[in-house]
Amino acid sequence: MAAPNYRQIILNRRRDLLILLNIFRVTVIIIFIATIYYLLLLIPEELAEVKNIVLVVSIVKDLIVVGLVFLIFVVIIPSFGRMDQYIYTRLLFSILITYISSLICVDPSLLAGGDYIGYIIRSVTENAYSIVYGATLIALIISGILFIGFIRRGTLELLLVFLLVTYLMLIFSSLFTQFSFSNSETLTNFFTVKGIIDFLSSSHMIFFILTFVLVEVGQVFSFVCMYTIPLSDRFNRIIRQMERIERVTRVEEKKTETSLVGPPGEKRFLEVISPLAKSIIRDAYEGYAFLGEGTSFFVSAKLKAYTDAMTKKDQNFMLRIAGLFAAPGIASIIVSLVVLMLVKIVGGIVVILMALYLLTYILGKIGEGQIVEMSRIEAYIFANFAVLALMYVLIVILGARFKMRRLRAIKEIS
Amino acid sequence: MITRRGGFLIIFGVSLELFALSFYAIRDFASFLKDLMGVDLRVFLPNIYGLIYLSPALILISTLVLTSVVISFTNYHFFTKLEFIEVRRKLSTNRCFAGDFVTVTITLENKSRFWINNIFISDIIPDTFDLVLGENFIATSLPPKSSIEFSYIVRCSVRGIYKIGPIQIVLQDRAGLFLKSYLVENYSDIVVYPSYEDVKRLEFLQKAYGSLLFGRYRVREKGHGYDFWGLRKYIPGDSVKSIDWKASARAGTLFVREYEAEKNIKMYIFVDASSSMSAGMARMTKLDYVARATVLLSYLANRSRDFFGLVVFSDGIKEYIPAGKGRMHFYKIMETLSKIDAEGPSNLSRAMKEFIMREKRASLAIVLSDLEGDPTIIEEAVKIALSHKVNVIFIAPIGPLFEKIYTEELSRAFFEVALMEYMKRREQIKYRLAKYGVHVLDVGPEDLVAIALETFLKAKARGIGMM
Repeated sequence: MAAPNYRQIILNRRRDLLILLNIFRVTVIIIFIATIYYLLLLIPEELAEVKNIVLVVSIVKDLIVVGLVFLIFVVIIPSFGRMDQYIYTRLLFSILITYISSLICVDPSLLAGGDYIGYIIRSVTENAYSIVYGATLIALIISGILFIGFIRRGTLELLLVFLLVTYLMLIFSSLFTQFSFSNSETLTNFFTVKGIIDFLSSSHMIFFILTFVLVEVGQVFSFVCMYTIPLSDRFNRIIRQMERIERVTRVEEKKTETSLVGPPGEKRFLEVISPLAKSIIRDAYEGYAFLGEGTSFFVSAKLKAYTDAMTKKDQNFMLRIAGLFAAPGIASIIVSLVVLMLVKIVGGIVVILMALYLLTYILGKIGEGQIVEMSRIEAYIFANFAVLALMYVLIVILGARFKMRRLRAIKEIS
Repeated sequence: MITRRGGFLIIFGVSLELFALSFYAIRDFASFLKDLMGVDLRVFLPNIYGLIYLSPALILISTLVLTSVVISFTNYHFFTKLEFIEVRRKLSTNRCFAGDFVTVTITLENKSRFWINNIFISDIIPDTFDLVLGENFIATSLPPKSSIEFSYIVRCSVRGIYKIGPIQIVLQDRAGLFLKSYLVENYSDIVVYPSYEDVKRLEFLQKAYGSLLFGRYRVREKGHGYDFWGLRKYIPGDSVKSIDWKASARAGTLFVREYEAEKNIKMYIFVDASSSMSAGMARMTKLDYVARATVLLSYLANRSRDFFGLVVFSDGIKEYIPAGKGRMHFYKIMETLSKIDAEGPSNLSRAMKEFIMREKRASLAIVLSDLEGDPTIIEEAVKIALSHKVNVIFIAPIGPLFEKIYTEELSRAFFEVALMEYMKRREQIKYRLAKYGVHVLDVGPEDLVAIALETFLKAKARGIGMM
C-alpha cells in the first residue's frame, strides 16, 4: 500500500482553514464598508470634503517651515562662532530664505519679514471649522489604517480604537454643525418600549447598529484568527520541517544517478577502491551512523529513519505531529459562533428592557416623583449599569455555588 | 483575569455611556454660562445644545456592547473550567540513549457538555531536549465530549534523568476577553542513557565486515568450547566422543577434533566522577566522553559474554555495580551512567580499597580518569589493586584537549603552555606507574572511544582478568 501524501493532506487542511479565515475577512470588510457608507450619510457634507484635509496638511506644512526657520536662525547659525559677522550672516540668511520659499511656494519677503507667522494665524482663525473637520477626517483615515491591521491579524483592540475614533468624529461633526440625529419628540418617547423600537428602526440608527454588528463580528473574526492563524502557521512550519528531513532522501536519489556509484550490475568504482568507503557513503544516504554527530544532516537523516519507522507502525503518525487531530471541524465552530452571537443580541435586548423597567420603577415608585435632580437619560444610564452589575454579581455568586456543589460531590465520592 | 482586549471593550462601552451622560452636563453648563454670565458658547460650538440627541443611540449601543461582554464573561466563568479537561501525556519510550528521539503525545479530553472555545496548551520540556519535529504547544478549541491529540518529537541530547512537564494550559473565552492560566503538575520521567552512536557505528562495521574487529584479537587456545580449532592424531586416553570418524576414514588413521577454549574475563570499568571531569564544552565534558566509552566497553563485554561491572568514584565509591552479564545487567549500568554527576575530589586509592572489600577475585580494571588527583594517591591505588590481582589499565583524557576554545593567537599561546605543563605532570605519573607495569593511555576527545575499544580487545586477547 502506497504511503499517503502527508504533505498534501496537511496543505489541504491548511487551505480549508484559510478559506474559513477569508470568508470571515470578507464579511468583516463588507460590514466595515457599510459602516463607513452610513457614517458618511450621517455626517454633514462639508465635513467630508477633501479640501479640509488639504487645508490641514498645508497648515501643518507651514508650521514645519516656521519650526525649520526658527531652528536654522535661532539655534544653528548662532552656534557657529565666526558667523556673527554681519555680511556672512546676511548672505546665508538670504540664500536659505530663498531656498525655503521656493520649496513651499511662498513670497520670500513674507518669510523674511517675519509676517509668515501672522499669515498662519490668520489662516487658522479664518478656517477654524474646516481645520477641525480636516483633522477629524485625518483621524478617521489613520484609524482606517488600524482597521487594516485588524483585518490582517484579528487584533480586536485595533477595531475598537477605530470605532472610538469614529464616534469621536461623529461627536465633533455634530458639535460644529447645526445637525441633529433626532428631534425632541424622539428623546421624550425614547423611554418607552415603543419609543425604543421606533428609535432603533430609524434610518439614523443603521450606523450605530452596524457598529455593534462590527464589534460582534469583529469578536468572532478575532476568535477565528486566534484559532486559524496559529494552526495554519503551525501546518506551514511542519511542512517546512518535513521538507527538510525529506531532502535527505532526495540527495540519495540524485547521487544514485551519477557515476559515483555507477550503473547497477557493474563492478562499481567505489567497490573497486574500498568496500568500506562504499558502505560509509551508502550509509550517508540510507542511515546516519557515519555522519558528523550533531550536524543538521545527521539529525535529519536519523529523524527520517525514525519517522519512516514510526509511520510504518502508525499511518497517522505524521498527521498527529502536524496537529491535524487537534483541530476540530469547521462546521461545528461556525454553528457555535452563530449561537453565541444570537445569545448576545437577545441578552442585549433583555438588558435594555430590564433597564427601562428599572427606570420606570425608580422614577415612579421609589422617589414618588421626588427624584428631580436626575434627568431621565441619566437615570436610564444608571439603570443600565445597575442591571449589568446585577448580572455580574449573579454570575459570580452562581459560579461559586456551582463550584462548591461540584467540590462537595467530589468529596462525597472520595 | 481580564485581558487587555477585554479591558478595551469595556472601556469602549463605558465611554459611549459616559459620552451620552456628558452631553447633558455640557448642555447644562452652557445654559448656566449663558444665563449667569451672558457667555454664549454657541458662537464657537454652534450645536452644543444639540449633542444630547446623540445620547440615546450611544446608550443603546453601549448597552449592547457591555451586555455582550457580560455574556462572554458568563460563558467563560461557567463553561471554561480546568475541571472539565483531562490532559494526558504519553511517551514512546521512557528510556533512551542520548541523541535518540522520543515521541511525546498529548491528549486533551473535554469531559463537559460545553465548548472549550479557546485553549492554549504548552508542554514544558527540559532545556537539554531539542524539539526536532512538531511543536510542543497548540492553540485550538475543544468540542463537547471529545478529545484532541497532538504529538511532537524531541531529541534527548544529554544523558541524565529528566522530567517532561508541567503542562501549561491557558483558557480563554471566544473573543479572548478573559483568561485563566494554569500549570498542571503532570510529569513524565525519562531516563537518558549516554550516547549509543559509537556502538551503532561498530555494529554497522560488524554487519558489513563480519569479525573484522573481533578477529584481530581473537584468543586462540585449545580447550572445551564450541568453535572448531583443528584435528590431531588420536592419543590413547582421548575420549572416543572426540574422534572425527569421517576424517579418520579418509586418512586411514584415527583423528580427534579439538575445540577453541572459551575465555571469559571479569572487567570493571572505573569511572572518575570527580569535579575535574566536568571540564569541557557543554554536553561534551570529559565525563560525557568517558560515559560514552563506558557504553561501548559494556556493549563489547556483553557481546563477548564477559562479566562486566561498574565503579563510579570520586572521593570514594559513589556507585558500584558488581560484575555480571546479560542485557538487563547492561541496562542497569546504562541507568547508573545516566545519573552520575561530576563532583567532589578524586581519591582512587580509597575507591580501590572499598572495591577490593567487595570484589575478592581477580579482575581487569579499566580506569577512565583524567588523573588530576594526587599522584601519590594514584600510585597507592595501583599498589593496592595489584596486590589483589586486579590488573589496572588507565585511559586518561588529556584535560586541555577537551577545553580548547581559543579564538585568538593569545589564547592559543596560553593553551599551548597549559598543555605543555599538563603533559609534563602526566609524564611524571606515567613514569611512576610504569614501575608497576601499569600503562596509561593518553587520549583526546577524538580517540577516547577508539582507544577504549582497542584496550578492551587487547586485554581480552591477553587474557587479562580471566576468570
